[in-house]
Amino acid sequence: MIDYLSAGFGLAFRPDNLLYCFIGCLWGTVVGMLPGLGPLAGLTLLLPLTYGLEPTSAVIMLAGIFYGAMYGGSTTSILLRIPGEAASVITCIDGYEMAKRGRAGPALVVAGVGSFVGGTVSVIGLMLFAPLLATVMLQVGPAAEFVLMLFALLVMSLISSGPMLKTMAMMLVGLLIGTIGLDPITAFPRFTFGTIELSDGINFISMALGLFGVSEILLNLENISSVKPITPNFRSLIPKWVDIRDSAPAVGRGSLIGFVFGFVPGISHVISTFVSYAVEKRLSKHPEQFGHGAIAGVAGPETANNATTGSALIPLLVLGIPAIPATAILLSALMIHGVQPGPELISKHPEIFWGLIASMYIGNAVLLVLNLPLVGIFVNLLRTPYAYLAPTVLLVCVIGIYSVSASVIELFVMIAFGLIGYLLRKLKFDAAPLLLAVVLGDRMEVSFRRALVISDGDYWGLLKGGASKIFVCALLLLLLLQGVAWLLGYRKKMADEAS
Amino acid sequence: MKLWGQVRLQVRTAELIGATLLLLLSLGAFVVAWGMPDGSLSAPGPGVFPLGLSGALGIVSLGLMIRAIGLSQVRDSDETLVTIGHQQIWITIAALIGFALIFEWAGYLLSATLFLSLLLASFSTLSRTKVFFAAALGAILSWLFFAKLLGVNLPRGFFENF
Repeated sequence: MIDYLSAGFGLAFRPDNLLYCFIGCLWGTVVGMLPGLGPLAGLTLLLPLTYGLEPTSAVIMLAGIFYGAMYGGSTTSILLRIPGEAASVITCIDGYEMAKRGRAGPALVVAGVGSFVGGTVSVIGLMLFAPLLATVMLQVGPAAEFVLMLFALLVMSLISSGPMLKTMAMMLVGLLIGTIGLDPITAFPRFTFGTIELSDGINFISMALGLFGVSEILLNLENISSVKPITPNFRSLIPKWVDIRDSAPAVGRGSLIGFVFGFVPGISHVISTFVSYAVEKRLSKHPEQFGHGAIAGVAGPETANNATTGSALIPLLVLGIPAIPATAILLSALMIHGVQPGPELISKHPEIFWGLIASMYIGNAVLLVLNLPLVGIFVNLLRTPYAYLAPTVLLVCVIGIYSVSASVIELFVMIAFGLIGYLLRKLKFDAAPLLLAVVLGDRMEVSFRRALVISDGDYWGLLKGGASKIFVCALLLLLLLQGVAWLLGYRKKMADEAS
Repeated sequence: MKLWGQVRLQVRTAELIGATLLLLLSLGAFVVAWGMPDGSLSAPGPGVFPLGLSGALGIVSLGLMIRAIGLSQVRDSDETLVTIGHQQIWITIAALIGFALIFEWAGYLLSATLFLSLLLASFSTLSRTKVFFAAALGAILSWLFFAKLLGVNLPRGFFENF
């Protein structure tokens, strides 16, 4: 492992990869900070520009955006009470209270250091667990693979914050979209309506940019307003001893909570922050301070959302299954470069896996530097009027799509999905499960059909393998827990809090 | 100021519209999938998966419809309405469509200048002259960054021979 890691550092320290890591972290911080542009939009915007890069460089840059956005999101939560992205919603409560009382500096430092610790713990976990899991998963056949993907989709619909039926509908639409094009086994054209353009299916990038880039802009155009953030000076960033003492245990617990929740498909990074906040409040000697500027209420959730980043990459890199929408974009980037994530990735492409791990260590350190001393510069970005930001982002979307496809048709696909994404959001449908289902649909169908051929049409054969039984048992357990949670009214409470 | 292009719907109506659209989508997909080869039990054909998915989507859509009907009809207030659309949104979509239509014919520089001019004129309070210069500057800078620095192949249109 040490040899691989040092080789990974050798790759990550290459000047071009250092630059891509820095660009990813910087862009991630910016999109995480700007309300309305989250990690998904940030990833989709830069994805087309990674086409000309080596796979390792592309993944290093995109992963930088992914975990960089988690850092950036806290700044606007603390200084503006506007979460830059969903995982920073809970930070608004105590972070902004601290800022109002002139303690924005310690809040930002604790959030930054907590994010660094959480992110680093998460990378260590990724480094230790991913190779072990890959060894186990190499024994798994197509039946278990199908059940695993089904399990991931069902878990996502069960734990989503919105109505379960809506999430299921979005998944089914995504799976249907995934069937457009030539059948992967017989090459029979499906839903192509005689057109050549649809024979390869709908371009994932055009769809993702439309659903998350364009629709995000359209939604934000409804409420163009300027903001006046609280700007802390450099001296005020230094925390007191009491701040360190109060936040250190929360950082430790947040790292653990975040890492464990990162494995859960769906909105794990958001849920982990709620769980961390609840745990800190429960364990605090002064729970009455929560909601009024408790530093542990900032440290725990901010650590937790960064600690999910490494573990959320494990299902992607080892199973080839994106647990959260942002990792679906990473999956797409890998596949575009001809790299199929799965149990064989670590052995077949060790440079990608270990290069990514090493770059994440470096990236977390870069982010700490970017987010603390340079916070004042980033805060100024928030003063950029949306009237200028929106056209710029849309122009980048157009250039991004055209650079990939050199086709105007893809621009129309992006616009259409932008409108669809906007309408879905207005009607309170979450587009993220749709995107995940599109990514998984193709492989899920192939696994299903191969498994049936192997079992000679025995549908129960899908559930006979050891791995399949484990996933089915886990699903039944989750269903049972959901039933209990529903009976106790907990699910509704979580949904209300999340909204 | 009253904005044009806004549609205000009651939550129940919006939910019903959403469920109906999904049901129509599932019906359409089901009809098309019905015509695809279904193979055998041991070797399912290309039609089986889409057929199953569209059927399942139909059932879920019906569930959503029932759920929407069950929502109480409440009196109109801003909290109970779903507002869809906004003049800025329709302008943006029109600008994007226009951009896509003239992009290859007029070239990047001209189409991007027109696109940015339209959006800046709609969203900002700048004068027309400033809008045009800002848009032209934005188009040129983005051309230099993406086409010259990153090597993205953007159409030159009128300027092909220059």
